[in-house]
Amino acid sequence: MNFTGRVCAGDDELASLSKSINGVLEALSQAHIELEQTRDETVEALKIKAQIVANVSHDARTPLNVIILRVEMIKRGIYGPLNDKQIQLLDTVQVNANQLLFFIDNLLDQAQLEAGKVTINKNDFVPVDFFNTIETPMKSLTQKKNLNLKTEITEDVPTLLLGDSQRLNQILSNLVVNAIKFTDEGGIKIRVFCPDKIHWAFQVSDTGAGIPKEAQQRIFEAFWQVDGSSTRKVNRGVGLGLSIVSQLTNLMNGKISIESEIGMGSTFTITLPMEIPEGEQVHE
Amino acid sequence: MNRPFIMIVEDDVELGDIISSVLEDSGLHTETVRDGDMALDRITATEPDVILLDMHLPNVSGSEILANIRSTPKLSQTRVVITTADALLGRANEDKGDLVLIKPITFDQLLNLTTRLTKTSQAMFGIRSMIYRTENGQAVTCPFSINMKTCHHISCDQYQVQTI
Repeated sequence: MNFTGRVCAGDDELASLSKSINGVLEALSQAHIELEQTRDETVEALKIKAQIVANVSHDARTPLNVIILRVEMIKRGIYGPLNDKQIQLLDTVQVNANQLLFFIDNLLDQAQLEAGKVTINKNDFVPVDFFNTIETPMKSLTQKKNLNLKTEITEDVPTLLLGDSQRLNQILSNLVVNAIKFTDEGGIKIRVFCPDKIHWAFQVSDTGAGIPKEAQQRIFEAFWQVDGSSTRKVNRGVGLGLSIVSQLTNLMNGKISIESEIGMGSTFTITLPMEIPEGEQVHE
Repeated sequence: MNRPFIMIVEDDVELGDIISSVLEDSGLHTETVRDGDMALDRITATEPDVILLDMHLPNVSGSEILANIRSTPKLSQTRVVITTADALLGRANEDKGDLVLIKPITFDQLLNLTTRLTKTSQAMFGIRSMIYRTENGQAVTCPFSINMKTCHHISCDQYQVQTI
């Protein structure tokens, strides 16, 4: 933007006016320079932050790997037989270790998204197998709360889809983890269907607490919580999951919608443009 | 048949010991080295079947070791499994290793590795998440990943591999 133009004046009144306008232009020019400096500093700060978070993630994963493998070896009886109570306690250690890992991954993803470093890639994937990879790690979390977890794939879904399955996994895993956090009875359902011929809808429904209308627009902001008070009864995380869901959905040119009522549960629907690989059968 | 020989390049002593213990208990022969210099020496001297290669290492990085392996003709049959705690580095190197395992590596992943090496005559791993077609044309994600440069039409338990 160029603020260097000058206004000329022929008499005192115009001279005074031109002086005022020139003063405003100079102030605007200065403000613009400062804004650009601030923007550059912010971009640099976000890159540094992303690198720090990547380093933290790296340093946390190795000791976490030792914990996860040692617990599994103990559970498998490699160091001697265990009773049911001991196995149950080790299950709890595993669930918590996996939750910690999920949290670290979300911190890493949020920082990478902020720094503009996340890219979307396409690969062929098998929807049925893909949903198994989401369901399996979630089962320990749902079992811990006695919740059901079901996946429904409608008949119109082809055997192969083309899209970024890794990012889609992050989106759906975050939605399911979020649903588990806010559901104390009932269960969670994942559903995939084809709303039109070029989009695929991925839906996560729960029978949980529901989201107040006034909160529904804000839940996708990073670190924002429906109940962010320090006195809240249950720790529901730091508020990164839905922010990551929203940012990744945008990057994939998708849309997100919520239907929710207090006490009646919530349904999140992600609609994404996804192609069917060449040669694949389309179910009508 | 000789036991497949796995070189574990891992600077975290305890993690290296655990991986070695799981693989040895599953019937594989292993050797563990803790730093990049030593890894280069031992890999050249022993020509392992498979190398589990951590990327962050003292003295010489995993990337340099990988480049060295790829440029050494006598190591052309050696498979490299990149293991890294750096999720971003892992994703960036997906095409360079025969397989990438981002830490935490699970017990099942280690057992899968063992299965592939002991139940088949060829080292059957490569790019992850390959899509296969069964004889009736159904698409599935094969539980094994196969290096398609060497195996185009082979039976993989119940899977008939037809496409890459």
